[in-house]
Amino acid sequence: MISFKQVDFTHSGQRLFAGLTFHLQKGRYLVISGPARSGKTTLVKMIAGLLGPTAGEIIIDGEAMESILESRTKLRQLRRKVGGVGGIYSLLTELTILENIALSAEIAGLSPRAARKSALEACGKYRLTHLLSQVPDKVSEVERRAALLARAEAARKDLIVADAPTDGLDPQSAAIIHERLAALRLAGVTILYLTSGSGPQNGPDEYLHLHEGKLAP
Amino acid sequence: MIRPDRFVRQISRHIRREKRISLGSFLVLAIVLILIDLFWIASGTITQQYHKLLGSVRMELFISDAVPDSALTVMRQAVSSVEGKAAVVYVSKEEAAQFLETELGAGILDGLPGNPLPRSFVIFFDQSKSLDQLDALEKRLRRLEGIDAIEFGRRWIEKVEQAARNFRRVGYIIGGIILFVVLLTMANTNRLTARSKSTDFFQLKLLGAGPSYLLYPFLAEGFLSASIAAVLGWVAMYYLAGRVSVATITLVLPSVFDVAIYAVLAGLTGMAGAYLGIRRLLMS
Repeated sequence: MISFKQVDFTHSGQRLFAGLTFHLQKGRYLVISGPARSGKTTLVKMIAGLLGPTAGEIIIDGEAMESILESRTKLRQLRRKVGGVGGIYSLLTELTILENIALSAEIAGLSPRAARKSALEACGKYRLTHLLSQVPDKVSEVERRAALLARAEAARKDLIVADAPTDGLDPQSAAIIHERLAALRLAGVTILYLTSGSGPQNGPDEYLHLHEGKLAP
Repeated sequence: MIRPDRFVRQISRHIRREKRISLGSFLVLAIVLILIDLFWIASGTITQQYHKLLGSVRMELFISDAVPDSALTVMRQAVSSVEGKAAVVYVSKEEAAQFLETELGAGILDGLPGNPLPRSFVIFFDQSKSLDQLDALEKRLRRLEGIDAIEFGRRWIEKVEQAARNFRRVGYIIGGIILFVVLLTMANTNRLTARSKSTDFFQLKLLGAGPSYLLYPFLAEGFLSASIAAVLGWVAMYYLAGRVSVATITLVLPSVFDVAIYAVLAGLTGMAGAYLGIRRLLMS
């Protein structure tokens, strides 16, 4: 699903990645941990097509990022496959929780009716049914993150990028997020989890540590 | 494509959330569009006054003393064949003298050997005529036998036409400037709106949204806000025109149909402004 091959990335004279290499196969759950400013969010931005590498190659779903970035259509198609929670991903402030989830499903290609149905199902799974008509500002942080996961699930995303999804949450709320991610993994969704801590104990297939621009087990 | 009901709700939520920006943007739009309204009323009213002035033009044909009274009927028939005439009035020497005395005082002709004033036909027109049309008519009427002179206030009309030409030139410049200001203001206003929505815009892009989610709602919002501002501007103008009267001048206001066309054009300008406003966000 995702391959980073000898990826270098330099920003403002600072070398963030130096020959970064990893492979995340379809349906697998990978945790990448690393200290603050080690480049975790940069990694997310690269997967979302917001940043390109200085050197090296990124391949997502068999397509080279270089070619994806050259075509708006390919970039949109890539983004329709990737869901996210935390980091750069957030809900649309002017839509309700239900509208946010349904809209994402519609953009991913579902019909409005199917998108709404899928959104309602996802809201049920994430215990958000009492918040359907609330705008994101009116719900708690854990509910917002649950809604982001529900959004990705309703849109049937192939890949979920979780960028420090439990930061600032109490252990109980964090456990709910971890539980849902593990369930998604079992449902065949590919998951990339980035954290400055140790990450979830149950569910992931592999753990890597990002340090000084390189990954190590 | 974003659903219309969601789009309407999205706009209303945005207005509630960003009251200041929304109200400010709308007011700025309404004000610049009122500038066009004022310009429109001014040009319409001045054009009407111009036609009114030209409509009051009359042509006097002075008849030679050598023409016998018996020839006047044939002559009148020839003069009456003029296109666009409202009436042809014959003024005898006595009536001319009477008119002169009324205007300049009794006894003005005393001491003169007889009545020196000529007989004349006065042509009144049913619609305004341009200087070129009057010149052509004069040329044709001069060919009539027994006409000594023709007078229609040529120099005065020339001045009016010159003034109208100057006004039109200035009008085009001012109109162009106003249109430019409107477009610029709309682009800036929409840029402000776009900036206030930039976070949501970014998230939509991350979701892989295409132009139907990113661009079209903005264009629709630009169209709606500009056309509503245009209509409200005219409502204000109609209200004020009913309260303000300028001496004998009647302000010329456009018809409802014209206002509808104007609102659509303003809406299209709003769309163009919206596009210019979010172009950078789209490209990023």
